[in-house]
Amino acid sequence: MFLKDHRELEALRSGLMTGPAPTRRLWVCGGPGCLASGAAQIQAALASEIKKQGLNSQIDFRADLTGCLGLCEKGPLVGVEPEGFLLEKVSLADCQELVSKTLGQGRPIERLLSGHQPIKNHPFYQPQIRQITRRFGQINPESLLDYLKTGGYQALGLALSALSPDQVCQMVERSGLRGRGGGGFPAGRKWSSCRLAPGTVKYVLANGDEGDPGAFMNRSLMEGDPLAIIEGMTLGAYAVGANKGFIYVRHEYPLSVERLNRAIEAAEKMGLLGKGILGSSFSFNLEIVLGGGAFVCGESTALMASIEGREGQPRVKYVRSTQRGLWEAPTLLQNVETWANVPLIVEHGHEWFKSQGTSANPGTKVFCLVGQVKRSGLVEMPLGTTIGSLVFEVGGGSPPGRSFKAVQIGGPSGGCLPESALDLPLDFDNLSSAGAIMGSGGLIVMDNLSCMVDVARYFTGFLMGESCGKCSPCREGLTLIYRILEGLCQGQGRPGDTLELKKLASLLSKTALCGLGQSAANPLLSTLRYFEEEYLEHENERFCRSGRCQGLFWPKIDPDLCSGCGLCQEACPAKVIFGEKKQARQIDLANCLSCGACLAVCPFGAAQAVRQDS
Amino acid sequence: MDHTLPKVTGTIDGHEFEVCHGTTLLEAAKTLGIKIPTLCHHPGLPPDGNCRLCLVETGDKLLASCAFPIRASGGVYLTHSPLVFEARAFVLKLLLSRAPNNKELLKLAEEYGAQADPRLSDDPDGCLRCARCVRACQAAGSQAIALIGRGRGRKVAGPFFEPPLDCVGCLACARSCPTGLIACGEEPRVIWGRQFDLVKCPQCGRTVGTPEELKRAGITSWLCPDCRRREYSQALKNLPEASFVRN
Amino acid sequence: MDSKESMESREAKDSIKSQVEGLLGSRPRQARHLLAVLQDIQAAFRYLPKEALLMVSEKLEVSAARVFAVAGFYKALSFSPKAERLLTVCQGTACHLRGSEKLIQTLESRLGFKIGQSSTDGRLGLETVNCLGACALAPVATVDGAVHGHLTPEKALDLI
Repeated sequence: MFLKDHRELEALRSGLMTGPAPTRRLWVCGGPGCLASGAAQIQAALASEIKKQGLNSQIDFRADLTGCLGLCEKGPLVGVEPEGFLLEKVSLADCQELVSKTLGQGRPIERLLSGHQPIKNHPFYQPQIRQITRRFGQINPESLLDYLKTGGYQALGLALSALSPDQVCQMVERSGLRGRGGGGFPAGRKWSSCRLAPGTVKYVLANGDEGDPGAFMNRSLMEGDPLAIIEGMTLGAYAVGANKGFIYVRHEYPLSVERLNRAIEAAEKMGLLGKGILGSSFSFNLEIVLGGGAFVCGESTALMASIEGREGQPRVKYVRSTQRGLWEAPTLLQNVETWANVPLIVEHGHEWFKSQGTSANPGTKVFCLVGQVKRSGLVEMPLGTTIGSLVFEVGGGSPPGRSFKAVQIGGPSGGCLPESALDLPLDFDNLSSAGAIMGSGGLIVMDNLSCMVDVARYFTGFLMGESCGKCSPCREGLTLIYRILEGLCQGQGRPGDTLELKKLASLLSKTALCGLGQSAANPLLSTLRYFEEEYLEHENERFCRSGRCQGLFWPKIDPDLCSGCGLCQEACPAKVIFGEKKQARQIDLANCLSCGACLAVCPFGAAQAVRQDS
Repeated sequence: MDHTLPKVTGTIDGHEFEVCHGTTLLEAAKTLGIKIPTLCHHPGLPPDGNCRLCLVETGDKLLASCAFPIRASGGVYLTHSPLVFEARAFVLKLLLSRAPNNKELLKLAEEYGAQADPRLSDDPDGCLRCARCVRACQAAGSQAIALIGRGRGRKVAGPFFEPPLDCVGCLACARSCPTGLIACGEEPRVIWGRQFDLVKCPQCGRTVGTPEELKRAGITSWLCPDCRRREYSQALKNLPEASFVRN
Repeated sequence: MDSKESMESREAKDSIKSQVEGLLGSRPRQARHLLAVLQDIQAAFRYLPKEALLMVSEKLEVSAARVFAVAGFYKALSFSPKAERLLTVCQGTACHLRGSEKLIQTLESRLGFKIGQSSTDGRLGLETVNCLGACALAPVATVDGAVHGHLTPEKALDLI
């Protein structure tokens, strides 16, 4: 069906909404975590079970994959509509019962039910505002009709029939929306600058090159609600006067590419992309470009170089890309999550958008909460929520036997914040003054067994491997920093290393050519700022208090805390832990490898790291 | 310089300057006689800003002066502040690890008190990765060599690490190399592991270039520039008088 | 013997050429599709044969040096054939905190080759990836795309 104008669009939508409401649907979570634990196979088994049990004659009974339901820890997840149950750790063996009992009769399977029902009362979901991720668990992301049914393309219909490009631009500017991909640059400023830039050829780009380890919010969005990104970009193109757009997607995300391509195709067929959209004179074409596996391509000028078919190398940026970007033309580049906010703003108005978040940081943000935390997953909260409420309320705090040490925010270019920062509101400005960045929204929780020197070494090593090698500070300087950190972690630190690191980190951030290099020292700078004593212990005492750096500690079992469970004994590769059942364990240090395996498995915090000379 | 462009003003190290809109900071400093050290910069090549030696302070930021175009008046730039000094020493320390014996680099290092760090001494191949050779090759009309790989392993090379087939033997790369690292020979013409024929001027016997080089430049006559000029003026002289009469 | 070998290699080259011709045909012949074309070739051959790169240079009218530079820049592309089966260990932050380095050490010492290398028969290769997004299951690894979570060094050895 080809929609000739926005009236036809609205007629189609109201037809869809007044159609027979589905009596019951099973939503299989299609988030990265659940897919990794077999969600696709479960969906297939459910579908064939529905057929087998003869329920498929009633089209309302369906089991579809949907966007990430968030609580990855408990996957594979299945949501039940309309009851709102959430079933956890579903296996193939459960599928028959799921179809006959849950889908057929609306009764949950008790053993799979999470402790908190309905799901909105679950402590993981209760504090969340699901705005960008609202369609996850509501639609099949491969269905354009599902998208329309949930309000999709209302914003574009409105813009093309009633708003001038300038008005759309102003709405975004007034909404105060800030770029979700990094430093939080005001989106409206970019839009106006690109709109006013002279030139007949302009481009809009979406950055879906999510390269931060521990971050999958962009992937979840591209796979869970691809049309929201596409609609947002279409609105952006209309506003700035572009007719061509590119979505740059990481090649490790084949499903994102597939979903986006299908969505583009479906939108083109309906006249929502292509020539003369919804009968207007506005034309817009969209193309997917696959990344080649280079983290630096998340940097704007490198991303554009990559789309042009060159090496993803940043260039000196003294002219903004809204003036001279892709192929030297004015270019509007935003992160995919930023784009997904746009239809909401145009549909509901800028005042509505500002009702969430803080005045300088309006709206919500999708976070990935992972690491040493009880409940990890995909979370959406208003900007300005405190770090503590995310880690402790939503995430449930550190695992048993461990204590919270730090939270790393913003990916490899972000920073590690200590316990004292738990009351800090999560917004662009507070994070950057505390020495971290929002980045794309990855939060990695660390506990007492996470060594901050090792964390800095890890991130520096990551960035060293991703440095394009163009400018000397990043190419040579990161290597030097990495080698010093490696020395500290191996007990080969030299006097003055900590001081030297401070100097090098600060100089690297001031002298590097692009954003990657300038922020590459952030993990180092922030850990030095908040955890300097750990560096000095590594340097002066060859001691790692976290029991992470092999050889820099001895494990010791506190007999008062040990329950005698024997987990450490099982985990010990050197077999030097001994003791009777239900008795506190002991360690024969003479043959101990100082590897920390016992510390990692102890759920009671009984295995601890002590100085080797003590 | 395009004199129709508006002028911009500002100060460098306290001295006022006035230049055309878009002039680089490095050039503006030159008009005041202020010297800023450079390595990757070459006046005949597009700026790349990769070595970071020419950093200049403004506000609390550092700018690569070779690539920064001045487009607004009122800028206050410092080329010899403590921060600039420290930053250049840092850059030199890092570059020294790659070219520890280079005279120009050692002189600069002495000036800025920079020393190579032994922890980076594992691959002193002499190359600064400044890409002057690659840019010169491109500016001369070829793309025979490129920087291959990324990070610290990045290297200048021909395709497949083999003698580059697109090389015309013009030696632009070797002549632009700040460390003189690219091994080459003028006569016989040898570079990148390839040997080239040389075209000799049929009149004076001087070397004109390689046949590939002349072809790239679209030159069909094999005369050297001097002889070509002489031949042209001779031809003009021999033309009948009437040819010069204006209608 | 010599002539037979060169015949074989010529045949191999011809077959590469005709396959690459086909791959080139599926995309517009513009320089901007260079990376995409190289990815197609990588997917078809599990590496970038030299003949293929030279053809790409000629057909897209991009210098061989630039084709080589692009091919050498992106991790998804390789100049030597990747192994038939790939064991990929996630090196994301969550996996790192939960011991992915120990997995890698164990695998490397047991297999006798390093990350980025393959067994001598070319059957099994070891790689790392920056993040798979399955952080809740950390540490994770994939074998031919199938994800295995909550790994310990012992469980990782069972994967091979």
